[in-house]
Amino acid sequence: MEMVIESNVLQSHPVGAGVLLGSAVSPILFPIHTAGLMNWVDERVQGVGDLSFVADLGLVPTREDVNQVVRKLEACAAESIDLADRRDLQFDTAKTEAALFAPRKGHKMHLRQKLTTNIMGGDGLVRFNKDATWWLGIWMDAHLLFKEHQNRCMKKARTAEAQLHVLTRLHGTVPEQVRAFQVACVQPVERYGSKLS
Amino acid sequence: MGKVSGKVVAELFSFMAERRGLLSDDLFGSRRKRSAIDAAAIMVDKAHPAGNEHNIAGALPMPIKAAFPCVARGRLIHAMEAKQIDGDLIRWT
Repeated sequence: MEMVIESNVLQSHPVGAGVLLGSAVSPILFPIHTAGLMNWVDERVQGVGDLSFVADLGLVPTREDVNQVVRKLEACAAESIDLADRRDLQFDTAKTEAALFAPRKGHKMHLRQKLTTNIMGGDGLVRFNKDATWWLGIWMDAHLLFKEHQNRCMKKARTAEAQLHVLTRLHGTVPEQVRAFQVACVQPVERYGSKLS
Repeated sequence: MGKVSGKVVAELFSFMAERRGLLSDDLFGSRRKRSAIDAAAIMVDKAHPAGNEHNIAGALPMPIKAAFPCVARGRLIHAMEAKQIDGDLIRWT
């Protein structure tokens, strides 16, 4: 790698790791590099649903007992971290929050005690978020009703709408353009993830 | 020119990976018709199995830290060779 700052060429350094940030190829190369991570977890921890979104792994065990779910999550985290270590990768446990979902509202009180505990995730603790957990831009609440997600999306859309209002008032935009801006900038924010609820 | 060739190579990689089944069915992002919303919908489906109201599901999202800069080049090339990816594409990488 060689940096050029205002026509001054700096000393070059060899780069032994990494795929290019911003390249269209990198999001395809990365899954090839991490291929087998989900199979590794599946083989060692039974009964866990897992999926991945480029560099985000999602693990979903389902059981009738909360303690069993927590143990499964710990086992999954340990196995994932083990394989990632072998491939010189690290999970960002500081940003990770686990979640518990229960379809029935009656489960809520039963879960409340567990929601304040932590599970082991490598060298740190992963805490449970009792309100809603964020994954891929979606806020998932304990009963998967997505009310928290809808509220947050509406708040962001109203902010975008207000900013658009200021811009159009300042520059005297014609109504057709305002409508086009609204469709392009506000509606996608408001409707993100609306198919889930 | 680099961006254009990158997009062409990305298309080739994507086509080859889908055709040969190199990527897992549970992998989303960077693939056609597999958006973040689809991934979230499948996670909800796994967490909320139909007809079983007594189950409790856990979810653990685990993001990889500094994912792209940490890819070991030698290991990536080895993985590509193991998957019998075309030599020209490996050399381009």
